[in-house]
Amino acid sequence: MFSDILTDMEKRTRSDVEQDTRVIKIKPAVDIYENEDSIVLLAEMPNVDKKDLKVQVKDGMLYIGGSRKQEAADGQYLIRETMDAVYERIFELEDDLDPEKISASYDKGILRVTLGKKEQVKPRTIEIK
Amino acid sequence: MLERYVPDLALDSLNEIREFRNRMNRLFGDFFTREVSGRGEEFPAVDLLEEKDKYVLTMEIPGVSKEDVNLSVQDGMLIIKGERKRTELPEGARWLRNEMFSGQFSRSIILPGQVDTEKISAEYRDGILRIEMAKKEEAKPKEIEIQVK
Repeated sequence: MFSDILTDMEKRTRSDVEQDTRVIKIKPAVDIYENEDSIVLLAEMPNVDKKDLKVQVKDGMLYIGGSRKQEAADGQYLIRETMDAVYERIFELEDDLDPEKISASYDKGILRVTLGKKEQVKPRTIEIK
Repeated sequence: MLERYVPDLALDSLNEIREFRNRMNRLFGDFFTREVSGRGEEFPAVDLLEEKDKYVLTMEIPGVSKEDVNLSVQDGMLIIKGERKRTELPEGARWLRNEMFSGQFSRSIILPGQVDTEKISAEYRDGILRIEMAKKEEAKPKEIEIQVK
């Protein structure tokens, strides 16, 4: 499963949205910032049910994904600019991150992933006696 | 002026106006329109669904606070304005990537039929703003029974 996604990675970097025969994939926009002891990633993934979100770390890669809610329309679309699609994006993790220290939350259509740094890379202030 | 509900005509002019606006935006650029994922679509993306007795407009605005959205209906047009604030950077932190849009946005949607301005409700969930607008009585489809002799 995971290696399939990896093979697609190269292709996906050329265009943010690509359509294969089965499903439309959207590469969510992200904001990432670094703290002293963690890296925080925020990804724009509106219209996803929390249970359909996926955050996975494997082989030094962070995978984030989710499928958009599909509502059965009881009527006729006069404007349709959104699409049924899945979000998907993969990041390479740096060695200084601890794969055990990952937490995620979802609010206002934004996925938030906090990746903790390994103990030894945290800057330590050494007291001078 | 007579107000009549003519769906086909309304839809045609709606598309025409949108196409015109898209063209103008392409020509001159527009502060509230950005290219989303290189697809050249308007921002924020909307869906407008016509149901039997109401219109349902949904707009994708992830990360926006409810207080920063303003809705109004005027002259058969629904106007949604708002602001997406930039992600706050905690003290001592530094950006590694900053791809999300921030700033003001606005979209005007021409409503194809009359809506009852007293019966408009809106909610915001999972980054989606959902506005329900009840149709005015005269805009509702009428069922006419025809007696077959």
